[in-house]
Amino acid sequence: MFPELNSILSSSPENFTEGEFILLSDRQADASFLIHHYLTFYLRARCRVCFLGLVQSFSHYSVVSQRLGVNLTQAKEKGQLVFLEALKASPGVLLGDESSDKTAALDYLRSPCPELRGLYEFVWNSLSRAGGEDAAESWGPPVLIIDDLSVLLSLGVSAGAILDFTHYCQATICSQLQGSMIALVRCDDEEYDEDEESSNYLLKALSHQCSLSLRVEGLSTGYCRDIHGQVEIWWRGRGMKNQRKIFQYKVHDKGASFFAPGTSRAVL
Amino acid sequence: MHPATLQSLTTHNCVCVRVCVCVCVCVCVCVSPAEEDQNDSYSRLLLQYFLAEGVVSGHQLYLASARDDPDDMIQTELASSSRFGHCYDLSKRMDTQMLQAVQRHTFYPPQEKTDEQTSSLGPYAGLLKSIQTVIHREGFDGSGSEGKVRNVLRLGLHSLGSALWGDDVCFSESPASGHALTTFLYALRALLRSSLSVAMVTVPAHLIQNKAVLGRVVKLSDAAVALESFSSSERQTNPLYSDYHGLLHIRQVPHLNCLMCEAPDNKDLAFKLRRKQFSIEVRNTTVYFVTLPPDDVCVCVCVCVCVCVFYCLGACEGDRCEYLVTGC
Repeated sequence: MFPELNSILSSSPENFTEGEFILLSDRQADASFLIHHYLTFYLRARCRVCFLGLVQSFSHYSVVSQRLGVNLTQAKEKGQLVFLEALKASPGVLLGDESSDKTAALDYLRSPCPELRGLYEFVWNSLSRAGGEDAAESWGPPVLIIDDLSVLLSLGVSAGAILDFTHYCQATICSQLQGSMIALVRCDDEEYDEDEESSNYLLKALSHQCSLSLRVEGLSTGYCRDIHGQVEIWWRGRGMKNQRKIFQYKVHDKGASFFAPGTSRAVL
Repeated sequence: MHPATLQSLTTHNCVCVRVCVCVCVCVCVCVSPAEEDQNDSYSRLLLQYFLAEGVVSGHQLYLASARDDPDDMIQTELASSSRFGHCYDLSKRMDTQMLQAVQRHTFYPPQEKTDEQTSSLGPYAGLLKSIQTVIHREGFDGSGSEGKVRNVLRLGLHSLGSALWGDDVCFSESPASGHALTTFLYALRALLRSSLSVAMVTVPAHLIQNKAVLGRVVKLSDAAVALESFSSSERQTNPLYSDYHGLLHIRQVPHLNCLMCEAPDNKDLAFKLRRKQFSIEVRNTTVYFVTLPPDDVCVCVCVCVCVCVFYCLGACEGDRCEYLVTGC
């Protein structure tokens, strides 16, 4: 996790808001570094985490988390982390191999009209048993992390089905189980991606559902080696709690630094 | 497996990387679409560089093309010289003995039997099945005998998305097999992640009607590069661009197994096709030539097999740097 981001968000593994739906998004940038932040954050906070790995393999997150000080393999063995290796299982399912994964979680690759009911049931089964009957350790609130939602659009799942899925997950995990949910949506420029099945449409709809939004964008002035982009953080509370702040950031090998616009070390 | 090392040179404006392939960390994968220019000539050339590097390194090759017979494409491989490691001479053909020493697999749709397209892969189902079969049969996914010497599989997939593949994404804004290309790339990414292989894909971006599809293709790749050729645009007569044949845009830089990859100082690159080489240059700037000791090379890139579409060897001539594309 990134200490600077923790202080900006006023949260720590010992003290964080429960029941949050955090929406991460990017445009002309890559917000996946925030996924690594939240994965390590909630594992450190001793929460039970269900991670839907739709775009990268487990080893990718494992290597990065190692650098951030968290051992994913150990977390998986202890039962703290449930990881769905959806990417690696997909060719077998798409080609109808006999030896392929038969679980309903990957139904969105199978049926002629792809939908996510099976995926929701996988999430529910992973997180509803808080603590577990046979677990020696009791974990904190359940957390669902999805990396990422927009790839489902590339696989033919409709935006409506994705919104139904996130709605169900939010109702179950955030409201019912008082856990948190983090989802990443990757977008393109709006002029290219305006229709109802686009990631921009998905982003707009999810922005209304979320309680905290982190929007990562490239700099409007173009590429810069020392400032990788800017993050707009939107606390979507009521009244005074509804506020937005913008920070610029730079990602390093072992973390990321955040600073007020114009205060990068490269500039000052 | 034999290590494939490339000398790494870091310049003021362009990062070149040392790639060390070791058995224990070699699970990486790359899918990198090179957006085809208007006439496909430059992207085809880059694909040939990519495959030539495979021949010289002793890798196995897999080439799929719907337009040209893949066997013919491999025959026109570039001759290598040993000036800076692996450099290629465009005016010569590769030695046939060298080509024959390499194990090759090809996929040419007119010669393949087509099954009914029932899955969301559409016209690419046969191609994916073929790739999966080769990977498994040759043991690139770790199957097979323990004692077998492991190698790398280089896949070159030419002009995916074009109508010759049976895809209508290039002539319809709402194509019937709308997600076939992106679903295929997703599945390809998955196959590469679990095997010792790397793929280079070229896509005719100028033909794809729906630009959102192109955005998705880029995001499904690890590295993505766009070639904008001047030949059919008004830039051809612009004096600013008179030295070049086109611009090279880096759309995506990979960061596999790491938070962030080494970022280049400058992404303002242009290319020029000379008689003997295809060179990529930083546009109109003076470049300082700096070498870094090996330890300083980005760890994340060392872990990956072949991350970028191109890595470049830099050679300074006076105050201008020429980058020789050697593929990966």
